[in-house]
Amino acid sequence: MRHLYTNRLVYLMAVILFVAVLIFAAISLQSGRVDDAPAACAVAPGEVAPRGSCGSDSGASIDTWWGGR
Amino acid sequence: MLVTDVARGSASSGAAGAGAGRAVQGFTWLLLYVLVAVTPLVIALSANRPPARDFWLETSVGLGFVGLSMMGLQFAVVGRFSAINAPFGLDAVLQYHRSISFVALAFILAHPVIIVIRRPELLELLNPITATWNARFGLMSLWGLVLLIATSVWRKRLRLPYEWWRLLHGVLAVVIVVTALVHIGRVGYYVDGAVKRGLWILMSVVFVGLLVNIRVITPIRLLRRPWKVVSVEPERGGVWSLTIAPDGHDGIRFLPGQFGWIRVDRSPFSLLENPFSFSSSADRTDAVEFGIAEAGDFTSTLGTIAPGTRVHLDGPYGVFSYERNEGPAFVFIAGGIGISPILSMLRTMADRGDRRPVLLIYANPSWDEVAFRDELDTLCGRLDLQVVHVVETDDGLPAARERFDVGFVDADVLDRRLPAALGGGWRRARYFICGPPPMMDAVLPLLIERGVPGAYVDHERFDII
Repeated sequence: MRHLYTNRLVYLMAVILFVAVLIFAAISLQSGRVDDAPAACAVAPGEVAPRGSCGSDSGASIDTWWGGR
Repeated sequence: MLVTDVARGSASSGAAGAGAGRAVQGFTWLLLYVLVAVTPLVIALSANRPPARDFWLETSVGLGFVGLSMMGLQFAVVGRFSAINAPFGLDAVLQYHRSISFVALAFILAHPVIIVIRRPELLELLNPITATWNARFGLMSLWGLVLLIATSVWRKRLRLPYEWWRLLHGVLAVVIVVTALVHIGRVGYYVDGAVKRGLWILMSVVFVGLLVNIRVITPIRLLRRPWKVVSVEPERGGVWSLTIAPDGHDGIRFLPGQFGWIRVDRSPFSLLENPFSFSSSADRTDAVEFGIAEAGDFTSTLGTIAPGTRVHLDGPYGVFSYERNEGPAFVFIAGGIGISPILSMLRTMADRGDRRPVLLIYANPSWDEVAFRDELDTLCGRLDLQVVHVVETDDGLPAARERFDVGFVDADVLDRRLPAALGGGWRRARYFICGPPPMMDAVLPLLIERGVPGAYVDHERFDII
């Protein structure tokens, strides 16, 4: 019956990991508030932030979590 | 040959203790798997948290991180580590490897899909021509994973030779993980700071290390422990008995019913290796024997292998053994070459003077194709063993038919043969099934329907590659 249990384990693992991701997303919202970020980084999507102010990226805009071209 | 409570005795209590130990071991590995899989999330939430974004965007990033981690963990899952395989069995671990890859694909696919749904203006990033290089690396990883799974699922339909598929599988696995890591590094949103970068580099090194272990360290270990062919003997039904002996070392110890991966006349670095069950007694120390059916490119050349040919054996693997599931009596149900691991168990029991009742139900297309049938008759004299042959045609059957059923291993065969052989204790016996997938798919539910506890039934699939 090991093979049957293995299939159930895969489903269980998928659920556990998905819940972990949801918790991660919720914590990200709680603890990584815009208020906590450098002031220059607190800009709306599409707006320009000073170079180097948003993390390590070259910083053309807040959208640069996709990075520059 | 009735099963008695006396016979159940200490063997069962010892097996229960070992079973509990394996359960703890298995749970520990699963816990470790979850912890490693969520490590990127923990790294992301550690120091230097970036500004918050939309909940679903963060979910998509989390799914991508965990998906990547699961892909990296695949190197550990298929690494043939004895400690990992011990509680589950390599066949179940490989089954997990296959199934969890679909979960990883779903997570990784969800990453760009959620982003595009939340921010449709980013759809252009899915076009490799217009995408940024950051996105291109992500796309490479994603399409690499799709290609890897497609070539695995449809390998036979695509007529991909096993060796080429295995090479492609390994290359794609590396490409997927490396391009995903480059994608994460270039995007740079959650990898700021020395600590985070250090942890990501550590994870990458571990993934690469696991691959190096599989492809370099294990072959070097095998190179130092060569084997040589002693004999290749034909059996009935297109089966060969391949016997190999250790060349300059003390060989291996295995549990009856386990299997090994062998490379015949090839470098241990070769990607072409085949898993075969040991058919010899676990107590035999001078050599090991495999029962192999002619079924593919390699096995059809078995008859041409000369004694003295160099062999590399990686093993033992598997948990399909009565020593892992002790009981007062045993029912072995074999189909075709599925007899091989069961023969190993029977030979071992005979060598050890084990007198517990055993019923062997052995299915074959015809009486003429019943491999090892003469030896099974001999084993009946050394063991408390009854053999029932189930053949599809009655052509050539001996006149005395009490040992034979014509047809398939079905409800009728089980309902007649189990109580007749084991009396009222047949539900307390331990069941081991090995044969073609359709046979096992048919027999397993029949046993459960008849009240045999699931924990008493084990089966071995030989379509693990």
